[in-house]
Amino acid sequence: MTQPAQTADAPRRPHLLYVAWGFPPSRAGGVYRALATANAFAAGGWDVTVLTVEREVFEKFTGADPSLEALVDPSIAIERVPFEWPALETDLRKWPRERVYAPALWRKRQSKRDQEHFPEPSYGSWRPVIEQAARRIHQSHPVDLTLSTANPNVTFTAAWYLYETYGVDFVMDYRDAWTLDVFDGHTVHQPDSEVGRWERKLLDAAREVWFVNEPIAAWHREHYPQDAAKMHVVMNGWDADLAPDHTPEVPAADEPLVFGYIGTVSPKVPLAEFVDGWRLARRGNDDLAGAEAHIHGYLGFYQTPRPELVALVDDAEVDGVRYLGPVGKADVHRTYEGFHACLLILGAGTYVTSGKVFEYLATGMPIVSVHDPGNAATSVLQGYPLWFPVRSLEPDDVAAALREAAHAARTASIETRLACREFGERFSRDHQLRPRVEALLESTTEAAR
Amino acid sequence: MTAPTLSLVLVVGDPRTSHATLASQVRALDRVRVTLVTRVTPDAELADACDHVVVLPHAVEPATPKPPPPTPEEREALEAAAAEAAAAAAAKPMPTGVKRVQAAVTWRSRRAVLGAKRRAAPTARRVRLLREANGIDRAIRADQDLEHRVASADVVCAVDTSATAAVWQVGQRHAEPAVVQGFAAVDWALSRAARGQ
Repeated sequence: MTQPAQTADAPRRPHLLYVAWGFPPSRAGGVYRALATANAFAAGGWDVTVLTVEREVFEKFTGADPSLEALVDPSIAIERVPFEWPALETDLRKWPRERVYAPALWRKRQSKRDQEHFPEPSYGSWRPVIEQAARRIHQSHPVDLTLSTANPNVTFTAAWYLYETYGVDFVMDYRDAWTLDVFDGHTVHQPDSEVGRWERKLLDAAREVWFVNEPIAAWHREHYPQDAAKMHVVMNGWDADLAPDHTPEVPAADEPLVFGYIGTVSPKVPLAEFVDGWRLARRGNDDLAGAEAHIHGYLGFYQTPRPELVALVDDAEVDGVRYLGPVGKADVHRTYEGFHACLLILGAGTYVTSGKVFEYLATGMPIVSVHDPGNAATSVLQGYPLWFPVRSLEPDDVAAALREAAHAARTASIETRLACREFGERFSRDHQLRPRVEALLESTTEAAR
Repeated sequence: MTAPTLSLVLVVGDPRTSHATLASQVRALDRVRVTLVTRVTPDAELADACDHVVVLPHAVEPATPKPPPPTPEEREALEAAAAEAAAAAAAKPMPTGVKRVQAAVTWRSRRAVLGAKRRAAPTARRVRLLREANGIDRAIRADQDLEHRVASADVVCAVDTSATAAVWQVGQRHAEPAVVQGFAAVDWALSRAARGQ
């Protein structure tokens, strides 16, 4: 780990320990928030140390996008620590005999082993590793504030350790939620469960708690009213470094339209519903003659695509649905340039938000929302001039939204497209993060006096 | 200086493994000599894509591939036929009384005789997979040339779960080759082998 240089007469910059499991070169969706947060603190007058996993974890398991590493502020120190992920291990030399000959039994035992230190399957065993690393970092360069970002929620334990041992304040940044299932709104862990007890004590002790959207924050305010005052919404936003920046253009009359989706296609994404609606929309519609839907991203959360999703896109190829694989962030600009409209296909849920909605807003193109109308993304898109939401996920409704968007893609004026870009300006990542970074700098500096 | 050619052994045990997908994955590899060891007779495309093919004794035929997806016209016709059949079924009265009991007994006895449920049970499936993998392992050990080829490879990959135990056994017998599960791990293992790790 390298220490940022400080001159003798310069005032001491506060030191932030940022704990994030996913950090570049990870290509996972949440990495952009992590990258932007670390960069925002570095730019906002903090010394930042990021505590994350080794590069190999991303190369081997989740997929890596090395182009993202170049976007990390050079003043940020990165401490990479080991992370074992036995469930996804593909190196057969690391497989015990029990796993080969009795896999069900092995899985059961491994799940228990994972949760020996912290109640979180797969990730719980990371707790002692990050606690030790946090202590080492604090001893070599005293930490003024810890910011832990979930998920995984085990990252909160490093913050808790420094708080308990050295009295270092911490901020919790929830990308989703821990005890709330954001897809169906159910409580997944009861208040008296081990997770429930952990969450309560962490929320009680935290200086601030961040959520990505208002519905999730409201749920937590209702369930933890004593901590409501410290809860803030820090929405995702589009990143100036990564967002598309081409001027929106009207396609030529004979040019077939391209609808595009960029993002991870998780099993919760209603891809099948979209495909049904797409097939229906293309029948006999002039605007959609020869139109294609380009799907970019991973099929599932991991390197290995989910077979049922592969089968779905393969079957839909005859209808112009093309799966084009993941896009490196460096190529995202160019990929958007090939679209005439964006497809926002999201899982259902009042609490579900998405990072890509903000990137889409920066394009100025028509956006077709193929998700439950009650989805949290709806509130973000309200008022966008070229927004075409579906009324339901029934094929007829999806088809109607696609046809309207196709018509707009062919006929919307440059003025309307520029109005769309202007609407998107307010959702830049910088706009979301700066107020919190400044407030924390002020309170941390005051506390140090 | 050009990168050295690496050697990869792919072990296939499951008749349902898609040969077309595997062939395209193999073709995408650069500067890799691929040996296919399989208990499933490979199709011409897959055999062509590999540098060397070893079909193990008592090879089985690949499972029948899925039919191609219907065209929009065919799909419309199928949907219409299904709607017609559903309407016809709705029009036919449900059997009642003795006939209903007879139908239920026939259906249940047929299911018991076929034992399909039992064959698909996790334990039975596990035993079958292990028997297949042991068969592959024995066949590799019985063929000295193949055993040598496997031992000197850079990477040995179990393409499907039927081959897992056999490749795991290779890892137990030989210290050298990287042994991995699933084709998705091949790139990573080859890049490590190229770096000499």
